[in-house]
Amino acid sequence: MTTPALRLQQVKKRFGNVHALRGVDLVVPRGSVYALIGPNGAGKTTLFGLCCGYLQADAGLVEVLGGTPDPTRLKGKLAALPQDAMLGREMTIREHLVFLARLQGMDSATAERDAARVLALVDLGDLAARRAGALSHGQVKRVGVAQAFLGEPELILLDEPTAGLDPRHAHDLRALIRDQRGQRTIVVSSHNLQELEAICDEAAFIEKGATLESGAVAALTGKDGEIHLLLAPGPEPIAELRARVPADEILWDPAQRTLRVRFQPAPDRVAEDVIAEVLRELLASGARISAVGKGRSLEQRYLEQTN
Amino acid sequence: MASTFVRDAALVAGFDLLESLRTRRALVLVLLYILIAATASGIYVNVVRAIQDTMETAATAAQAGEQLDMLKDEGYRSLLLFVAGGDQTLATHLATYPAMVLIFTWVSLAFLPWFIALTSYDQIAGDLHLRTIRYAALRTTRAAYVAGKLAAQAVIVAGVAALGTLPVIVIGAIYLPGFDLLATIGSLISTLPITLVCALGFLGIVSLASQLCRTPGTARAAAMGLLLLVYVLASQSTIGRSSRCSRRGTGSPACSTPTSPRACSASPPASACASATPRSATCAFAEGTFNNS
Repeated sequence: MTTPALRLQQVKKRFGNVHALRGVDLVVPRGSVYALIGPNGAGKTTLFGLCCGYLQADAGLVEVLGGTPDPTRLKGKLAALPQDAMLGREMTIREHLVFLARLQGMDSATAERDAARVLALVDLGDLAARRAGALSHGQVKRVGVAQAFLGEPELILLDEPTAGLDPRHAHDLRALIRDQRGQRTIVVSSHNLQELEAICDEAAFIEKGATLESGAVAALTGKDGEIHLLLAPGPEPIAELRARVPADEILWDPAQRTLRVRFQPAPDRVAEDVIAEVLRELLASGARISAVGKGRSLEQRYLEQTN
Repeated sequence: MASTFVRDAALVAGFDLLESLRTRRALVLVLLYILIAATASGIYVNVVRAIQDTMETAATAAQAGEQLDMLKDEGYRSLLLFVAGGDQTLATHLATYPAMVLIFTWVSLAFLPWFIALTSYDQIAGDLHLRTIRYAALRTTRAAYVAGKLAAQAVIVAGVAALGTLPVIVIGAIYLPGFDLLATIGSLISTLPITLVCALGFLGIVSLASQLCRTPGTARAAAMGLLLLVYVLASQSTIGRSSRCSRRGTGSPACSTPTSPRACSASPPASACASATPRSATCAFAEGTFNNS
């Protein structure tokens, strides 16, 4: 059995009187794209700091790629996009990236090539010779993302990678992260839950320095065992539905006009089959359907967990 | 492991050096230092001319050419003895250097620490404040990073100290009659290592302050505070030693130690940092008087 890319057990960290982490448990499988979700001050950045070795935990276990977060051991294997880290203003983007690549162990020629490659990944190839001080906030963020992809890191930690990016580059970055699935492990923290839902396989909710819940995104959002429908004003054949469609629970919210159907998924009865059954019954009773979907959004799930 | 450390430190040093040159920080340090060196050399030249005029008038009146040399020698000897804190051996050694070189070295050791404090205080604290260090921290050890930063600053300081000697040579050659160019260059080369050792010591103190603080402002204040502390401690040491010498007489062993523990102290730094390789006092005064340098 392969060791997880990241394993944290009851990790605690205090800054004076402030308990940044009160006991975080996480297991990030290798090759996955993992979301770290939580409000400001939940401890996500502190968690990244511990994993990168910037900080030391007061208690608990922090295991990165099967060992302690030691830069000598993790050189070239662990990369990170630190939150709000700046670059020296006078050096060009290419010089920064070549320097970091060489520090990672590459020779000069390889470093030059790899710098060009990662700049192309974030659509900054044309600005390679520009001083870092002359870049916009979004461009600096993209350089930060680029340096995280130098070489062949096994684990990449991205702290709010799309914050400050324009929609097109945010979209491109999401695609880049999605493409890495299976090749390397990526842990992403973000406040954009729709974005995380779209790109992540697994997620953990962090609140007040502790893990509330973690697991596969599909399980967290109930995509395999729950469907929802929005009914337009008109007939409300809920009783007929309850009588004819087998389900664990059928919930009707007349104010929101939302219908939720929870069921036990089986190989011969997956969410799409249940959607078909429910639609058939509702349409037969004259109901008008505005929208239909599987599970609930990560955002809804997160709000339920934290309320 | 050791080769990785050296390689990483060299990479950090090279990058930091290039960045310092790009930010013109090194240039500012060079210009300030050259300005101070030129000012000190200019003042020295004017003082020498004024003294020469006065003494030559007095000597002409006394019609005693030999008395002029005696006056010069006695005055210079007393000055060096005062600068050496009453240490006769040290004063004799200092006399082997051209006076202009001694003054330049004194000025260097008096001002260089403050220049270093003003230009190097944020070498680490600045990176911590902007979090720039986080990009490198995943790729190298903290020790290699700090060693690289320190090496880059050391190269800058060495370059600045070396360039600072140029005004001494140029001003001396232009304005001092009978200026011995080769002797002065030789003396400057022999005092440069002393200046560098002291400057690197101060750089170490400033680097310590830079690592202890997380913001450039506090690092600058801490660097200044530590330098002041060193100056105060050095002054206390000098005062204590001088008073002991004055009680026992300059010939006592405590007052004639060639190298004293107050090496690199601020006041008077040139005397404190000089190592003793005695030459004859007569030869020393012949070379070191106002006439040629």
